Amino acid sequence: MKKSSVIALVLIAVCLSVILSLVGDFSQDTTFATAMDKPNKSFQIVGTLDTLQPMEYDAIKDPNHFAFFVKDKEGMTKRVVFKGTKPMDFERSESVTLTGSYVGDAFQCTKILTKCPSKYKNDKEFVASK
Amino acid sequence: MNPTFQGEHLLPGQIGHFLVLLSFISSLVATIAYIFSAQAKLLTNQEDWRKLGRVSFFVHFASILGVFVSLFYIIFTHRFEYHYAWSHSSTVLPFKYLLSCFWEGQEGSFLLWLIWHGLLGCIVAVNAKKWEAPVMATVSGVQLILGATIIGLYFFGEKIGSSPFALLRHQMQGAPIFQQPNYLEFIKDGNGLNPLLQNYWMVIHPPILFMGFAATLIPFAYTIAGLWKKDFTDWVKPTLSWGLFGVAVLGLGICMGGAWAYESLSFGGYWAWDPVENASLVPWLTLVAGVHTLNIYKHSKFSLKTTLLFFILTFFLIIYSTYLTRTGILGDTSVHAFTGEGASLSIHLIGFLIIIAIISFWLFFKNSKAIASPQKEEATWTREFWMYIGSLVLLISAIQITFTTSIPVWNKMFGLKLAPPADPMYHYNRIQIWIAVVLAVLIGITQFFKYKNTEIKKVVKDQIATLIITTIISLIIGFHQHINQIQAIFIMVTAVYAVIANIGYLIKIKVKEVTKWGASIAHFGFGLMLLGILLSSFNKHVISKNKLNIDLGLQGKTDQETHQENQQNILLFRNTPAEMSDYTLTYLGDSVVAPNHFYKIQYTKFDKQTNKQLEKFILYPLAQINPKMGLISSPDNKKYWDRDVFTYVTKTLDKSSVPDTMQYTKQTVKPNDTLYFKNGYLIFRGINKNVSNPNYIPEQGDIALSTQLDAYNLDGKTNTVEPVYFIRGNMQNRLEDTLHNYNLYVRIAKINMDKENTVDIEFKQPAAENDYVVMKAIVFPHINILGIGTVIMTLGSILALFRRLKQTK
Repeated sequence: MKKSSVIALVLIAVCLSVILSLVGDFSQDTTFATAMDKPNKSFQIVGTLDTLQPMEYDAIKDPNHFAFFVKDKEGMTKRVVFKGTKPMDFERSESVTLTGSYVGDAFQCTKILTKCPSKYKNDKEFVASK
Repeated sequence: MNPTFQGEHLLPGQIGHFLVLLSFISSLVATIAYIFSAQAKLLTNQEDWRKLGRVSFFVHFASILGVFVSLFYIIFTHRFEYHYAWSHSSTVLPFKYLLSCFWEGQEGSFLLWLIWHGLLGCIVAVNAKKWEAPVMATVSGVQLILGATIIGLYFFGEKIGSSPFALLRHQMQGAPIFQQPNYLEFIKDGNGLNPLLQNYWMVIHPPILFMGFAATLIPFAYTIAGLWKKDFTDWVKPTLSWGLFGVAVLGLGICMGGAWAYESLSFGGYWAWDPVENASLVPWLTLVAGVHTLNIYKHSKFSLKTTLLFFILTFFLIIYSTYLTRTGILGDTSVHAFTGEGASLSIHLIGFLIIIAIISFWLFFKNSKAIASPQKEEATWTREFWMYIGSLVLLISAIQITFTTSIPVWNKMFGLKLAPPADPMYHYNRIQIWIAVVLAVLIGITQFFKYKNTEIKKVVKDQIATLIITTIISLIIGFHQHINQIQAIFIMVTAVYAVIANIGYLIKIKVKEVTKWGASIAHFGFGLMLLGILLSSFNKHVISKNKLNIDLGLQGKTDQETHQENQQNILLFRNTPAEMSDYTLTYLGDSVVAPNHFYKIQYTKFDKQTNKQLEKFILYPLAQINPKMGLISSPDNKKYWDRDVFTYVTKTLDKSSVPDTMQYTKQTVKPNDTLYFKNGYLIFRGINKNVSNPNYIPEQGDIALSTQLDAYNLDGKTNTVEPVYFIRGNMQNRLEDTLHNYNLYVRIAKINMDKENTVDIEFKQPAAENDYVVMKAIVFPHINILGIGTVIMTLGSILALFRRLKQTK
């Protein structure tokens, strides 16, 4: 066998094993039900903010405690606790992506990604109101 | 029915639009002419077509420059009738950021890219001699396809590209405001520039990055030309020079992006494996690989095909990265993905990718048989063999990054529903750390091998001293920095080895030939970068909660630990000192320089025994409360030689939303009377008829008076407040003035019009508990090593480029 063929085979083998070893990192978007089944395992949940229920954040009491309610894609609403500051304009977000795990009676989230309507998009209303 | 609109300046747009069309058509002519020249059999035909091609390309470049000037004129003169100026600029924008408006929008950034292609194309056209026609055919063709993104015309009912000169009223048809002919009078200001882009790095980083993007076109064009003409004889030198140019500029652009992220974003780092960052890193990796395999070809005749594939892949990846970042396909997965410009751009770029792939591979498979490969096997202990292995390692790195970054693409193509890794740092580092370890070893050892044949004993002998020094330095760093994780130890030792081996190589072998230092210096810089990345991230720690050893994400952490780490914000009440790590922190107040809100945080450090003050400094992290984007926080840094103290605001108090129950204190004063507040006093200086308070905007018919009050604290005079009282249309108005340092609000209650010129002043000073800021502080140790490494690597690449340029002549 030629050396170049050996190298090519090794290259393909390394790439495949690298990619296969990483597959476990790709999570499917899940729901609270799945996260509750496997407590302490990290999941990513996309949902909408339940604005009917109160949000807890008081920087003076604890700047690292923010709790709110989120409704997932299957319509289940759960309490979410984020150990950090409340993101600005959180109320206005269209959807939230939460990363974290279910512990005790709340989803403990380590990262929040919010999607706000028209971040820097220009909308007609905006012009019209000027 | 077309109503005429008042106040519009349509001429600059018409000129601009004409130049867009001219540039498009001239690039078409240049493409055709250069193709005919390259294909022509007769020398005279070749020459005629080549001349036509060159003239057309010059016209093309000149008109692209004209487009740029027209658009800049529109932005500079604030012509908000144009959609681009309206959506990306505003009248308050300082001059230096008017340029940044170009790269905020899609059209402007494509324009910038076209300019760089045009400039590099002109240089190639003049210098390439026999390569001009086949190389410029590709360059012109790329300009044709890329230029189509800014023409904004309808072809057979399909809109191609979007014009930077589109009018606001056309873009927003149907908005009621445009039914008024004088609509422009109501549009006082533009949408403004994204505040994140209002940073000096953002003035310089995008042009450099785009020049790096543009630079990858030239090696690609040479690759196509070489395959086309089946000629690789004097092809190596120009290709290598342009490849090195791309490595230097694109590398610098990427590093500047990291610097921008570090200095103006608040995610607390310079690299986040964000898809947008990855999209520019991956082509750089393949370009670096291509330059190395080309060097192999130059010295040993091996690996020409690999080189060609690397250059094709690099340019393909550049367009692919544009597709990822510009069409919105990344969607939720990126923090700073640019806005999606819709399906039309998406189809345009996918079409471009398919064209590149078809032409490249068709030429490659048709003509690469003509490339003679050496018959003999490569020997194992040669420089070329290990350089080749190194290039393949770079390729593995590129494949892994691309695979994960492209998850949204896989989802779209195969209908999957994969979510990107929940923890990207952990995900990428897990693989890329080992790739970096292998690369560090290779860049240390490979140059000690010789091309073709090496005496292995000599190499081993040369390594002994290097290994001893590496061991000593690694032990010192390891103990001093408490590096105790296996991956981190590997990275540290190999990075130190890369640094020492390259210095050793310079000392031992090449000391007299300065021009040959390029590669060693670049590799030395790369080693330093790795070391800097390791030291700054391994011992990066949040001091706002005294948590030590936030790791690289190397070991799986339980969520409980992650939650702990998330408790990293500290609450500071105004003027109430708080302990944080070795420092005592005091929030002294805030000040506003529109649109930025600066928070004044004082750090002091005391000697624990003697209580003597050791150091004192003030940081000004800033925040913008942007109506459209929420809290935008930019850090401020205290730089020490061996670390940065990185401070940023995570939560601010919206003072207007706090219920203000405090009553004003009223006091009647005559000139030079004193009013006392909690931590100082005010002296009333008298009534001014000429109001100088900048917040007061006079209107005709106003009767306005103001009072000047000088504020003193215990150290002496500090500031002046000037509340205003004015009558406008039979209405009394009061303009309150604020001393932010003291949270003191002052207004005029009544002007008494008596002999003594007395005035009723009202003031209040809400308690400090009502004023606070939540912040976070992170220490990045030895981040300077990373910065120095970056600079050295770039300088090394440039030095290598100069060497090749000298040889070309």
